[in-house]
Amino acid sequence: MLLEVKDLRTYLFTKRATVKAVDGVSFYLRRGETLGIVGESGSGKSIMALSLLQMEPKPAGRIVGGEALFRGDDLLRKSQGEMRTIRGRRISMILQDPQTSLNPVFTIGNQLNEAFVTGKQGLARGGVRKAVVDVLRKVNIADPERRVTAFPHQLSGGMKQRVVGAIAISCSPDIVIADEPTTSLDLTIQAQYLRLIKRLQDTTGVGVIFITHDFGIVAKMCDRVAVMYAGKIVEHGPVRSIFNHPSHPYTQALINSVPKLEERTERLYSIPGQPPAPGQELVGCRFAPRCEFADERCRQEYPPQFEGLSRHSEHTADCWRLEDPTWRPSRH
Amino acid sequence: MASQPTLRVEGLKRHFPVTMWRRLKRVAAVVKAVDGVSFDVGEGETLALVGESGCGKTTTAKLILALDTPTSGTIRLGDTDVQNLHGEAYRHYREQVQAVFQDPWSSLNPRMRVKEIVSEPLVVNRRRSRRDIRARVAEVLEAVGLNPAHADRFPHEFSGGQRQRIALASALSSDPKLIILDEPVSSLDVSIRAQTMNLFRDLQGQFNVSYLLIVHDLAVARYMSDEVAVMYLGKIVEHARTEDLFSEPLHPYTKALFAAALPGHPDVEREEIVLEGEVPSPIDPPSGCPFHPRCPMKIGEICETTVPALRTHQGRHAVSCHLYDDEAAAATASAEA
Repeated sequence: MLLEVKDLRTYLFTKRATVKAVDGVSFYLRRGETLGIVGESGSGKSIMALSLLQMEPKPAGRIVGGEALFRGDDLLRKSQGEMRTIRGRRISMILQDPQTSLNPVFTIGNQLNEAFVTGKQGLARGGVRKAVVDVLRKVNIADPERRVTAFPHQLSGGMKQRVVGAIAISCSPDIVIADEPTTSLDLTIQAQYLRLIKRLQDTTGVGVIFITHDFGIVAKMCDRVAVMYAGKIVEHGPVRSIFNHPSHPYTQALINSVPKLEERTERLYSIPGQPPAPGQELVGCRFAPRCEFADERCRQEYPPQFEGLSRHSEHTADCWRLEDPTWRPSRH
Repeated sequence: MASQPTLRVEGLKRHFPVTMWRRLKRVAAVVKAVDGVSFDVGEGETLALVGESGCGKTTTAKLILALDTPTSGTIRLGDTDVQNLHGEAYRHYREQVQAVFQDPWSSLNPRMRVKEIVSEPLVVNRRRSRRDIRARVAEVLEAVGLNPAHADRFPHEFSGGQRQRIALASALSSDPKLIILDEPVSSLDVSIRAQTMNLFRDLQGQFNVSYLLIVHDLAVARYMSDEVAVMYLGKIVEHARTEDLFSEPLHPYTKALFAAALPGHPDVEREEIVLEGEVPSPIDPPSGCPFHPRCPMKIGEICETTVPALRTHQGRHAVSCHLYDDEAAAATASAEA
């Protein structure tokens, strides 16, 4: 097991309220695997990812519990000095907007140099230069020898995001966390980028955590998926199992509320209401106020996790309704 | 089909001159943002303009909203020609054409109350009494599913989905014929998108308004529209009824867009067409067919030298591609015979 997160809790302490942004999240990642984390804005998916690298927004954000075992070592108990040897080298991140993740006053060659020099020892000067050009070629940048002297503003959005990708893989990390990496890209450029990530994964065996709000990306890229709602993972399982037999009402509603390209949809299912406001005190199932199946117990008590759904040992969901075996999906 | 379309756009062009820094008056190049676009939007129908950034969708919308003046071409709303509108006629036109934008955080003035935002299209025209205005505000707020009692609140008190409803209420208040929806759901959360799209569809019937939907998400275009026009570098490359386009896309660019779109299920297998490179700059667009440098189905020299015309293929499915030249010629010949 490459990464095993158990009961991670990150709260944001503000004057008005304590926001339980990540409220007891557990998941795992194997080598070479892609895990999708799907959720709406405010579901806590980004703060969860930042917490893994101890980069939760301070001072309001604080990790208050849980552990994140990376090759058996707890990331949450490491000092900042130790974390510095892990960030970028063992676990790296690709953020949403390449415009803000690259420094506008340095050339991209400069920024890649930095990644190599701080990340790896024992590369001679000429070696670094060659490594920079090599990694740019790996991410399909045409004419990399010339591009190293370019500034970020001279590149298009798709190219910039590929440079960010090059920085992320420059130290051959074990895990890449990609937080909505393609939302700012055009459709055909997004397709190019996703194909690139897949190819890099095939050649390097890196584990990828894909944070997204789009089930389409999950369908295309991921092996397993975890669905987050209001700080909790409400359903988790292999991607086909989730698409064929979504078991949590939220997952079902999300999948049914997205228009399909492949067929004509007469009328989309729409989820009533809105996600809970941050800081709202929540008891019981977080989705209960919007759920058509919710009863009194759902509003009072958080449901336990039911395992082995759709006859798949890894498929789990938190919903009281699954107590009744007739509601549990079985594989056809 | 309706006898007269709500909106008719013919040969619309908008070219932006690029001047040199040292020689201010010299025009160094021309950006052809919109380069000869024609389409109709039928009464109570929705036309989706689909394309990637830089293809001219937003410039087209600005021209229709009369926020910019076309280089050439005509825009007609019913019997009114948009060009040379002044005074009362211009105000009337602006009442008839409204817009809902992508980001309801920046499109609503944070210092105005909801009732002021919603009634603005009415107040500007100063033709109605205060009581009428108040009644109309309550009516449209109710129509979009907001509580009319909240009319005194400010935008920050609402969520993204509700703000988009306020923007729609404001657009509907002057009883327009056409509303331009510029990426109306792409800034909203997934669970809010469906309710917003359903609302747009329901109100279209109720208010008998036409939509010009500007969108990059093909699945949204399929769900919301009656007709789709695909744009590339300032030109329409394919235009058809929605179901025709989605059942049989013809232009290689449309096919590539479909291949690039994300699947609805992990088992969906798509033809693998990944376009290399990026959309060329509209300052110096490629000769001939603008898509030829990236086209995986290029026939040969004709693509580099001759601009393909947008020609009808099988009934009402128009496509501009040399691949279909023979069929189009045959169809014209048989129609003439």
